[in-house]
Amino acid sequence: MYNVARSRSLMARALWAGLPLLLIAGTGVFAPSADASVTAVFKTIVLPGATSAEGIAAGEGRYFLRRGSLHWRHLPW
Amino acid sequence: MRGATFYAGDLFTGDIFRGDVEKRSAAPFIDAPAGRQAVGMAVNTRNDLLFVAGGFTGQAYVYDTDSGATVASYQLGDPGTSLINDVALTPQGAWFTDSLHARLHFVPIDQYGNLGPFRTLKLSGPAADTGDEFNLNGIAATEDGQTLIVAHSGNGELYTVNPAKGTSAHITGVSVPTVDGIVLDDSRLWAVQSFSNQITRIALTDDLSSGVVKKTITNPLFQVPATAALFGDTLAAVNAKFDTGVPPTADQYEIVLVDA
Repeated sequence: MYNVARSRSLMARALWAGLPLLLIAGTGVFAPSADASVTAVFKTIVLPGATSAEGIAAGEGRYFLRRGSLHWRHLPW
Repeated sequence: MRGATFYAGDLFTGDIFRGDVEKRSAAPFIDAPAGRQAVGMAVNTRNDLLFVAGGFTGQAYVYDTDSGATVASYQLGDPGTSLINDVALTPQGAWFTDSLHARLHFVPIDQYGNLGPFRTLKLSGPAADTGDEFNLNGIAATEDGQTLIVAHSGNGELYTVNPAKGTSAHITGVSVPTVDGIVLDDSRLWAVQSFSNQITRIALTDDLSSGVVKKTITNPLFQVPATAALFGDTLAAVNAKFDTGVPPTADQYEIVLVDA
């Protein structure tokens, strides 16, 4: 007969045993990277082949999230 | 179109890049004809037009953002003695600064995207000060187009300009040394201070007569940022890298994303 209590106990022990591994894996995924180059890649957009740079303008598709709510910024021009 | 499209320029070739802030990507879009430059720019999304200030050429260009074709070009000032530095859009048209003269240039545009001949507005008041090497630089407009705000790089100050009369007034309470481009969103203004390697967020009074500094944005990735564009709560700032020289000599140029 299937022992529900034993099954839950085994599952709990298995989860408990695996918890440190989950924590270690989680640290690798979610913790801030100590590698500055990784951070830089995320925070910058390279202009490929540019020999200089100066201006920037926001273009089409001005959907954006602002403080948790969706705004559609419709400008008359 | 969904996303967060931006356009950026290669100052000394005039080439235009198109990218997406959300996707963190950019690619060459317009291979500009030889002799052009690209300084400040603004997009008219209603008519798919990109307005570009042409720097020392004294020119301004209007590109089709669908095809990349040149729709129009204007000789706003004499090449070599003019510096067409930035542009702001209003419902009536596009206003360009000239860093070497006490004037603004206006290119009218109707609701269908038809462009008209440009005219020049002579400035008076503090915005007419041309005593420095670089004077008027960034420009922004209120949503109704009835008031312009200009940044004076030499004075480190901001001024309002009446676009009908050319009169100007100092926005008191803020000092922004080495100010370059500016971004306006209702009563919030961001002043990009190139050689200070920072962006200052300012809360303006309703009448735009004064402001209070609310935040100073710094980032180790800044390398002489020239101007910025706003995407929600994110500012996308362009590293001009003029600390390497003019023209600059860096191996790479990039957009830096920071919290606004």
